[in-house]
Amino acid sequence: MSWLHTWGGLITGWILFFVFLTGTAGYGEIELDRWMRPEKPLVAPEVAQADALALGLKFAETTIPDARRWLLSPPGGREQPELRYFIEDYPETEGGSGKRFSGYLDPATGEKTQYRATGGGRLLYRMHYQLHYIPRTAAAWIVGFCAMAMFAALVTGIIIHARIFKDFFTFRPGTGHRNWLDAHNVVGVLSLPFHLMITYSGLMFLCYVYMAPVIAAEYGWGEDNRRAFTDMMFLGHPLDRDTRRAAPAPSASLAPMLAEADRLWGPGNIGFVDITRPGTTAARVRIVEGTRHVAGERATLVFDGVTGTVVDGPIVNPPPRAISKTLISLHEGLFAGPVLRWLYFLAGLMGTAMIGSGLILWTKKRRARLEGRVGFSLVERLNVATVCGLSTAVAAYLWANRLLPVEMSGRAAWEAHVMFLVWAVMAAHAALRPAARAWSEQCGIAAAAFGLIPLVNALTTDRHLGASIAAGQWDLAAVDLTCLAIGIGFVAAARIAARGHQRAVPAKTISPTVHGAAE
Amino acid sequence: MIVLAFFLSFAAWTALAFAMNRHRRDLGWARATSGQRTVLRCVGGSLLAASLWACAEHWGWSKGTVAWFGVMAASAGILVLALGYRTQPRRSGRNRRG
Amino acid sequence: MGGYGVAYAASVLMARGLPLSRYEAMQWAILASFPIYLCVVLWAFRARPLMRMWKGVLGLAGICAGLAWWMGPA
Repeated sequence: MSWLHTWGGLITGWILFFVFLTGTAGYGEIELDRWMRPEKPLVAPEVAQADALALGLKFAETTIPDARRWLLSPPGGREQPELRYFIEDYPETEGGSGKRFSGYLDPATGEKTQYRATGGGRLLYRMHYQLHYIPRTAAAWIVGFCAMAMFAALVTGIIIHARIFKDFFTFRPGTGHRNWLDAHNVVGVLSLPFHLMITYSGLMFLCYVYMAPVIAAEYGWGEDNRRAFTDMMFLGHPLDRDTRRAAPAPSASLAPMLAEADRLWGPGNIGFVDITRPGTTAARVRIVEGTRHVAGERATLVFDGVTGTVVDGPIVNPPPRAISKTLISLHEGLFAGPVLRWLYFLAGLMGTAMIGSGLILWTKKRRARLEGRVGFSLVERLNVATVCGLSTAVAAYLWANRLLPVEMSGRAAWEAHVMFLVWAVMAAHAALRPAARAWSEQCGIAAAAFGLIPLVNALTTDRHLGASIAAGQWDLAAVDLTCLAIGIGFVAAARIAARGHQRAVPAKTISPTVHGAAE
Repeated sequence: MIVLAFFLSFAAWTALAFAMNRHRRDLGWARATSGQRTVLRCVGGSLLAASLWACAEHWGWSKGTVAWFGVMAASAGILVLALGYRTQPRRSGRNRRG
Repeated sequence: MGGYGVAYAASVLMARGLPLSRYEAMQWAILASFPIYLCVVLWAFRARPLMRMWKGVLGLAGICAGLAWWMGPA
């Protein structure tokens, strides 16, 4: 058991750290998205959803009149102040997928908005299950394997360290191995429900990849059969995935449908409008509620696109589906308001800190026995490169967003390249320097990387703290302020690491407390 | 309501920590009698329940339950740090076993 | 690993065996599959002799798969 906890945790720890760090950042996905597009209006204009949707519809009709699918999400809620569109054409060949277009429209004028090309917070969030530079399915399997190891490590952790509940509040600050054990236990136990939930639900998200043979045993192999299951799981009813053109027919007006949605869910509460095969006899208009619930289910109205009458598409929600929907919604935390989202963020940090402290603990425990061995220094270096190096790389991603020329081609891709290049440089640095020095130096670099972000922001854009706080745009200011706080955390970490180094005590790294705050 | 939930849960963890002899010793206090421990545990338990109620009052039961776990983790985290630094000067050996 | 085999076989068995609609049974099976996998992994790391572990894991997978096959496609 103990063996499984130690070694299973070690070999998957570095990837899990990446997954948890980017996933935690993902809780601020929309705020980061906004920060990374400083061209967005500081204060969003108020536009009625129906008016914005009418403009969006006009845009879609003129762009691709006979698209297979128009998906429009109006401004509203925590989502962005603009109208987002996604248009999918009919495939040119049987079984293929059609061309896809997506972007933002100004909700007041219907014009395309001119934002800089960026991966945004969305890319960071996606990395936590798609990694990067790796085919999706391969990434899903890697992350799934690590998640399963995490699941096993959590349960074995509870079993072997039954003491952790006795030592519930025990934390002895310091830098010895027992102090790291305390830190590992504390962050592990305090948000244990979160850790268990996030791991299990994470597996549920991609269950159709991991348990594909199980689904195939009943439904048969292939994309269509898999969809027959996943549509039921995620949507509660089969979605129109027919890619054949139906006979043309005049479309019913959208306005009464929107009015019906407003009447049922309150005004301004439309999440998105999904029109499949518009302008044909098979047209369907699906309107989904904006508010998110813990149970995961959002109210949905389905209309016949020709007659404009409600088509009864009853959502089947048997107990197992309700459970999996709730798990998935708990994982995403999209229902959370600002305070709850901060708590989610905090729990994510605790998870990240648990993994980081676990990795460090491994080296602390074995230093006396294994110091000097190749494997040991490899682990030690990888720890520095992951804990400090990856954090710095995330900061570099934000730097790249501000510093790369706006008109550069392939800009969005280069933001991510910069992130991984910086990570590679940090890894090389960790490999070349003595481990103890590497810790304190990289903490210093990370502190500078995060702490200077508000300054870089102020120098390159007019969306700096002075402007965002003055306008009361706290979600924008929060990005700058959080970076500043992380930077300060790393300053403290660097000082502690440097002090440990000067004392020439063998055990020297950043303090667990600061480390937790810094992630 | 959020602040109330936070402090209720903080107080609850504090009571539970004081019910444990280990932490009493770290603070330099006398051991608790079994009666005292039972009382402290009951107080802690009911304060946690009260904190759940406060969360539900603010967020509604479904979101409130989720938030309650977050509030518990955050308040316990602060208590752990406070206890850790409070007891630090009293320790002679850094790695003394508890 | 063997655990995946057991989890897979047991899930197929559940998906077939549960007297529910096709979707419902499948969803239960999928929900259960990960904890089953976990239990098998934990058990496998407890069972010291390697042979016994393999016998146990393969035996369990075989029984589940056999039963599922015997029930036939729903």
